[in-house]
Amino acid sequence: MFEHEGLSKEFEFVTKKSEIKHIGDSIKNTSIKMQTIAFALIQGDQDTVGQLTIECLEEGISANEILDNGLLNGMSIVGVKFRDNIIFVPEVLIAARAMKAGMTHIEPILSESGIEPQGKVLMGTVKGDLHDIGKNLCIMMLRGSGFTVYDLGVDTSPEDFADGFEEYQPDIIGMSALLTTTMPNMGRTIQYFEDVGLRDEVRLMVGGAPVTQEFADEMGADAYGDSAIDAVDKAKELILLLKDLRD
Amino acid sequence: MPSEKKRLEKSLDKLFEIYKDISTKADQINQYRCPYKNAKNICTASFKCLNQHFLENNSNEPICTGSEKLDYRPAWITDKPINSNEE
Repeated sequence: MFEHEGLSKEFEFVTKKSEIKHIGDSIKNTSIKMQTIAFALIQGDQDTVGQLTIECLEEGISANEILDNGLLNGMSIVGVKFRDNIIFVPEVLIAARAMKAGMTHIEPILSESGIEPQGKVLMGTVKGDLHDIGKNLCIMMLRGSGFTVYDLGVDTSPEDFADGFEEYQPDIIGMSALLTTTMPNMGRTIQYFEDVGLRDEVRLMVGGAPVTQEFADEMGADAYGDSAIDAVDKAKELILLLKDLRD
Repeated sequence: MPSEKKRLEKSLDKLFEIYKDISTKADQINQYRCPYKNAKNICTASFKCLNQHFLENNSNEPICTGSEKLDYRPAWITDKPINSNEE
């Protein structure tokens, strides 16, 4: 089917006629290097994706070609495999990490072309909570919509969030919690930002399975996202509000 | 430059659409299948869960014994790091 044997095998998971045509046409005339990027992305091989992206850019291949013919072709197949229950959330997140490894080198070219990041978001799961999938899905979505995201990981104390703020100067801080027992640590983090005089410097957004709009309001959060997609919408709204304030 | 910008924007829009479909599907599948369970039924969580079972020959990667019929969330012990089958 394609020059790259591994990618040809991955393409066998694409079974819908329209997708065979659409994704197949998009891959078939691409170079072996682009096919290798697509394959490495599907495998979640971030090192290869990053390295090949650098090599391609150095060879003068355009960022757009790398995006369309390498990264997006790979992610299209990942999307199909996930929809059809061939892979699951952990594999998707590993592929998204590989996408990020490629995008890191594309981003400066986006800026040169006039495409600036939507804003900067600092993300973390709150103190006492080791759950990270919801946060990681939000990070994937935020990056996919053009935000620069810094990830503090899990078990993030109010002090860690404040240190992260000082280091990265984000527009928004996103806090995630899975448990009703750790959820109050969102409020404690907001209070800590009040106490150290940082509350007005940044917008604070919360989310997670047990969190509700009511709880977010009670804690004094600026926004609540009830899903990863909603988190993106809310982050965009907060950025608009910030722009108005700064203007 | 403007046409390059447009092409890049189109590509980024496509990426966002793929991610949006993935996110929607994740919301659906997470209703019954633990999101930490990978395609090989290995648990990828960094915290302890009652559904984790460590095989002797592969003790670093517990398999998930969740049924996908019962809610998996009560089995999560997310304030304790993953270690072994021992309580």
